[in-house]
Amino acid sequence: MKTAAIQLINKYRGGLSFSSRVFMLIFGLMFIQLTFITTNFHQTLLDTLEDQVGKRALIQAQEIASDPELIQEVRIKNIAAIERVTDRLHKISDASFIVIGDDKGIRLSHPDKEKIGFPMKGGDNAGALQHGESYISIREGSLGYGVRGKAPIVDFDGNTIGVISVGYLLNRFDQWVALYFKPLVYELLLSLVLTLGGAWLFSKHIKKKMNGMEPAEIAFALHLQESILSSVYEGVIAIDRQGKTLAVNKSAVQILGINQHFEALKKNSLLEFITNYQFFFKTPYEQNLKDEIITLNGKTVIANRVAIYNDENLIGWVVSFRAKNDINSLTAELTQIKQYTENLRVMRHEHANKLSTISGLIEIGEYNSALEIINSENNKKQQLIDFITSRIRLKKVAGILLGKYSRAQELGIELQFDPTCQLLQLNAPIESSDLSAIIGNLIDNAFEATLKNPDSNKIVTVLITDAGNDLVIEISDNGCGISDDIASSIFSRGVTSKEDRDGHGIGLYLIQRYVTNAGGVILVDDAEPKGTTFSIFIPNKVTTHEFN
Amino acid sequence: MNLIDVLIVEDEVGIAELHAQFFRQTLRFNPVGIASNLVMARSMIRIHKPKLIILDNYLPDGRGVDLLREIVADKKATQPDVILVTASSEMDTVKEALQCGCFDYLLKPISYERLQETLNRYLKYNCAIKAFDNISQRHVDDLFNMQVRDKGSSRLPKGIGELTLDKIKQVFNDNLGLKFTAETLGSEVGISKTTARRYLEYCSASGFLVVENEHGRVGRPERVYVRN
Repeated sequence: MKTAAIQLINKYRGGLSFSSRVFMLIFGLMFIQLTFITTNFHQTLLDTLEDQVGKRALIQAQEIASDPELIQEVRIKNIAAIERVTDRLHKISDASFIVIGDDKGIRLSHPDKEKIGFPMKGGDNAGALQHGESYISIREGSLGYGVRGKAPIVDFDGNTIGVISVGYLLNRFDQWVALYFKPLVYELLLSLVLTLGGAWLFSKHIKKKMNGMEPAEIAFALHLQESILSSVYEGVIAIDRQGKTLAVNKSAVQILGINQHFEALKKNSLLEFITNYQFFFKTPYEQNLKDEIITLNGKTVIANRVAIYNDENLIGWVVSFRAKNDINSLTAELTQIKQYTENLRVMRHEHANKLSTISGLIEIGEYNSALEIINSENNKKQQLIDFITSRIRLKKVAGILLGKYSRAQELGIELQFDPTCQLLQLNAPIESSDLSAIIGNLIDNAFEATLKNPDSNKIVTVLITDAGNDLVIEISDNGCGISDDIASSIFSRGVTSKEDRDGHGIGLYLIQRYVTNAGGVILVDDAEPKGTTFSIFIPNKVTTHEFN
Repeated sequence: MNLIDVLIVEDEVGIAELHAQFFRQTLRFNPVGIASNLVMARSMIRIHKPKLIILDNYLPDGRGVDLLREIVADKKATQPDVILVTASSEMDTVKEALQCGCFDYLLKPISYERLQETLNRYLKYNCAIKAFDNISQRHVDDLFNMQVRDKGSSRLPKGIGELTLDKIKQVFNDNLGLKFTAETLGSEVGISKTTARRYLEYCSASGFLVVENEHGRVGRPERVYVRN
């Protein structure tokens, strides 16, 4: 109820709907145009009529004025004879009136007999009587407003003896205008009706094309669509049957590593930027594809394809995909949680065992043995922490070693630190964060390799020392080793056997660069009986002390 | 001599009492208070201004490490030193505390023998701070490093056995001018490559051997050691 009211208010606030506005606009424009044309035509018609009728009146007046019989009768002012002449003329002329006046402007003939003998009205006789001119005059006369032609009556001696006025009154005009104007009015009305219908149909058509939505709603829908596209984590690409891009979101661009301006993509065929696009056009076209593992631009992704229809016609597809690594890391996390719970169960079991041993020892009075058991496990770890914190005085490196130690425990691997480990100061020309990244990454590699070798003794040894002239880092595992086919290229960019995790996965390529920049070398060797040893030697900076 | 005020932050009353008892027995430390949660700990730090805090990581209203962070971040207040106590399974907390710079880390259950060691070290450290009142932490660190170094040079460090060391020195003395890698020496003496590396680096650090990085087989540089 309330929402309905709000909708109503919004409707009024927003004014008329778009289609109504289109309708009003078209109709209004046409109406104004037609009114303008009509007014113009009417005026022109009136002007033309006036001109034509005026000339007609003038010519008649001149013709009548040249009638010798009339001249004769006017000269002797034979009113009866003049009337006979004008009566005859009235019958053959369509003029409203024919008035004849003498040289003083006194009527000698008039349709209204009672007005004979009185002066002519209108005051427009001067030109004819005094100057002998013929002209058209539009005046209010005794019979009403009208157009009249005036001509002087000149006798055989050249004297102006009277004036003739042939007039057409306005009511006659109106008849003519009506005559000429009527069809036009019909046409105008017809075209107005047609415009009305056309505008209505057009606005209806637009409304239908816009799915009955207002422009603001369309803009909102478009904005919403873009927001949804950009908010999803998956890459989304919509293409038509020719492979032209209909829509593409940022995730897709990112996942595929397309180095193109976002807008440019929409103009071009996306397929120019994608290798291996067979998936997009896999037959049968109508079939929706789900969770297929494919490779796009060198990235392994899990992709879906859904066909888009427009009234039963297949117009394209929406392909959505997600980097496989994302899903893998989720799975890995889940596995880790499982492993963790398993570890917890084992630990609880061990704990219970220990508690019963301790209680037994206390019962028989072996207090020292009980204390020993309590402290033994702990001591190992405490000693390790003490060892690392006293020997490795670079906080970042010590932190990463402790972190890797606990990670090793989770993985069931023993991380052994060489008893001669020491890193008192960073004398080598390398950042401590880079150094810890290198160490962390090498240890991760070792863990991974160890887990891949089922016969491994599961020991990873670490030697870090700055006792000599070089900073020495050596990490050995009893893992799967490095296969010969990638041995020569392990330091190249993009060669890896694992996913980036924890942000430490900087890769051997970067390790190589860090070490080389610091002026050091990396040695890769096979360990006995199986596995790999990575050794890094970075020369310490020559201190001023040694220099002297 | 001044007593050093100690604040105990521990939610288990029994353990806290034991700690307090332990500190009372020492001659130099004075337990000024027991806080059973972070809120109490904060106000007690303000009031008592302890010099040392025994901080349990697992507290009802938060983690001890977070309090450690606050203490380190608060530059205005006199910063007490912190000994963090964590359960043995929380190695990541140790890592975090280490990066924040706490004085020491003890794993639960606390061995009082170990705690005594820490306190001795703390007294030494305190003396050093006082002695070098105005010099930087760097110098204090150097002082500590020196102690570690000295310990190493006086007798053979842990991990370096006299027998093996003599054997290796013998090999080098017998083959003057001959270059050895960790691998060749390992097979000569009968030890693993890793162990060989340890001894070789020790010998080069002590000046017995000279090191060279050589380009060996293609793409595989080698590190060779030769008698000085």
